Amino acid sequence: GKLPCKLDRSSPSYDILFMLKVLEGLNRYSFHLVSDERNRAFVHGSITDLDDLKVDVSVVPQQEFVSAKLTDKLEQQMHDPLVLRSRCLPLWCTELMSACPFLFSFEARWKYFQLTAFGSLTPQHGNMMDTSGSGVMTERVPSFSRKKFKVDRDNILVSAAKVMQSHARSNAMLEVEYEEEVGTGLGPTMEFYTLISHEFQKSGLGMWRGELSGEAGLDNVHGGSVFVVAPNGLFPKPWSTHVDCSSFSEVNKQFHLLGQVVAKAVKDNRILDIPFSKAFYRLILGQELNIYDIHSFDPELAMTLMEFKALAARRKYLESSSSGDCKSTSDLSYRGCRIEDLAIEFALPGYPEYVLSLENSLDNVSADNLEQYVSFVVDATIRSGIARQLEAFKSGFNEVFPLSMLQVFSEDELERLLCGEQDTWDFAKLVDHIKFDHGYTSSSPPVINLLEVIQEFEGHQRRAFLQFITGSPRLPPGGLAALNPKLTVVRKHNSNEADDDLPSVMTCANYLKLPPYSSKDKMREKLLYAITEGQGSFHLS
Amino acid sequence: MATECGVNKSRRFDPGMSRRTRRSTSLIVCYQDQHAPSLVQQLRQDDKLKTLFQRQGMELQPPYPYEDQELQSEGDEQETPNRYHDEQEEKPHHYLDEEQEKKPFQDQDGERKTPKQYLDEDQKTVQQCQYEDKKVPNQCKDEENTPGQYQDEEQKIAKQCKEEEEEEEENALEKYQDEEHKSLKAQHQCQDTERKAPGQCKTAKTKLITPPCANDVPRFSLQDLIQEKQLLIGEAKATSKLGNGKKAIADRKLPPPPAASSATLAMVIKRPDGGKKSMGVIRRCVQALNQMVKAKHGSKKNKPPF
Repeated sequence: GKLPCKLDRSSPSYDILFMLKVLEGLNRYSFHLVSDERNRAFVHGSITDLDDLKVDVSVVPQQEFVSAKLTDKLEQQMHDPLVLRSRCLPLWCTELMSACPFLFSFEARWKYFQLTAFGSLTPQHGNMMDTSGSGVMTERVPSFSRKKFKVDRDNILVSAAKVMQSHARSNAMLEVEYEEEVGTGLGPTMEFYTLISHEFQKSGLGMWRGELSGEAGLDNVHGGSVFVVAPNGLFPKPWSTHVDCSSFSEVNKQFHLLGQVVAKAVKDNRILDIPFSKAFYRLILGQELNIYDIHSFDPELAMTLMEFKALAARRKYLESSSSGDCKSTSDLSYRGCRIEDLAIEFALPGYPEYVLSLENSLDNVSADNLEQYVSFVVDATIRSGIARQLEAFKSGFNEVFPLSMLQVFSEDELERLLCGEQDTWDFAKLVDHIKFDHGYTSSSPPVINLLEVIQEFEGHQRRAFLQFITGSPRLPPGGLAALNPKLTVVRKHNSNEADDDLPSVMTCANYLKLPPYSSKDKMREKLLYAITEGQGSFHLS
Repeated sequence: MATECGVNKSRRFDPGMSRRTRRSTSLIVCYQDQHAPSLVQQLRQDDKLKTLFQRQGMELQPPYPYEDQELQSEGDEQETPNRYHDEQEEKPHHYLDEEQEKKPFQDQDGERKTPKQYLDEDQKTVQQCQYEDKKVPNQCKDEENTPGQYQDEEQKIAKQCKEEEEEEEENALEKYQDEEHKSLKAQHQCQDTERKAPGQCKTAKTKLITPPCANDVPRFSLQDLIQEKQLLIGEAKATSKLGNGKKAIADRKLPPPPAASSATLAMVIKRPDGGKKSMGVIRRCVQALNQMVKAKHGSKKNKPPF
């Protein structure tokens, strides 16, 4: 093997880069490697208990691979005025970023991505990567502009499709307002992406594998809607090529739209509230999946398939080593039962309508066709069964900007970029990253009550609180410190009694107007009422 | 007589210089190497005395023994040029080594010391010459004896000479052993004091060079002066090692002799590494890569930064 770059192979640095590339790969695929080794051990009889096939590995943090000097060099190059104007980085930057992106810090790669994909280091509305406040603000090339759309809140997917149809290829930033609502700007736009994210998770669309649920902890704007439950993240539902074309056509359209929305959100630095699985992120990044990747979105199925695979391989090994002894091979059992006695249909688990094989469609799984069964299930789950959906997603994404630009990130980093991150809400951090003004200071009694209340919130209450203030239930990458504008709490003045008033917000400025309630309990009551009942509309306050 | 004294002077001075060429990196080995040639020097002195006595005795013998003396003289003459050439060949290397290692200040110290050593040796030479001169009248007086007793006296003289030679050899050997023992003690004391404090070490060194008294007059023997020179050289080397961090580091890389293991261990203990943590293979690779990154800032070239 060799590095996928044009570096001089005789240079000592090439050897070190190659070594680091190998180490990074071993680290990234450590679960796969250990699992495969365990499987081989079972095949050769080193282990005999199927439970021993389970593995638990710890990986080295990505930060260990970062070279501070190279990162500084890259930063210097990216801040060069000529580079900014011409968008032409030195060849070594692109070569190293392509071959060994792990050598650079996440923040540097984010800037590199912005520069190479969009021609500027940071978007005009702020640098969410730089929490120190020393980021360089530069104009986008060509000049920055906004495009405003009016959408129907009750028919968000149809509206989104129309918006993307005319706006996907535009360089202008998307701005949304809602019909019959007067609020416009950042808040409504952020909520637009949140609403779309929730719509895409409805089970009726047939997009994702998983169980059905009515609540699932999501914002149930539309009563009676059923959302997909995917505890380990969303992964495309397998669709057979033998199904009705009209049904799949709608699914394909949704994946195409999803690709457009995801790309637009990344481009405009908007946050999506959609929990993709790690395996789906890997597919987005152009990586191939194997049987061990199934573990990331369906651990039970993955474990069963791995055990079946081990048994089939063991049977084949015994047959090849002692061909005369038929008894030992026929005695292979799965947890005390013969494979035939398990009465497993030769169909995709969870999706009986999916035809794995025309030849074996009426048969049950047996010791003779076990290996074939595992192979067909894996193929349907992570390859052929989702190939068309993935192509539709990529097609939509590429209409906004090239999907390959994202390959400088890992799947965890991509999730962070797309969906932000959860932040700790300890008291000190809240005080540090929240601004108090217009009658309030950090030591004001109402402020102290507020901080205690939101610190005591449950997870779904925090999400509601964030969506109430910003339009999105998640914080951007960097957490509360990266929120731009900074979360500000001001005193709300009203002629009536404070205890009778409700808090209100200016989402464009992340501005919370808080009445000086007489007690903490009263504040909690009013605040919870506002963040739960005050969703779903933007009006002047 | 004057001619003989000049030869002795040059020969006595050269062994000290020749010994300097056999320098070792270890302080202990330096002491041992510098002390070892003392036996050779002692033997040379014995040879000189033998030669002197033989020449004096042969002057009274008939012409036939004179021929033997001539042969011996030729042998001596043949040996002298070889020694001289050997010493000449050894000088340049020794001089270059010293020149490379010494600092300007040390060079000045060396220059300051040389005249004193030279004067001391001159004084020693003069003393020995005077002593030898004193012996001559006694031997002349013996010549006044009658011819009849001449043969008997010749036999007696020969016998006495042999006895004296044997006694001198024994004394020399004993003296050498005593000196060696003292030097070993001195080295041991020096090692002990080095571990304690430099001041105590200096005190011990001062004690070592206390001259013995002869007729209530302190006189430095050749052995004492040689020891003093060795100690001074050793001290200079120790100073240079301690003063130069690079050399100290380089010296630690060398495998120390068994006798010096404790001293080396003490030095290592005094200079800990500061508790550095060992890095994993990933960080070591990254560090190696960082070291290859060029330090130049603001480079706009298309070449990679390493």
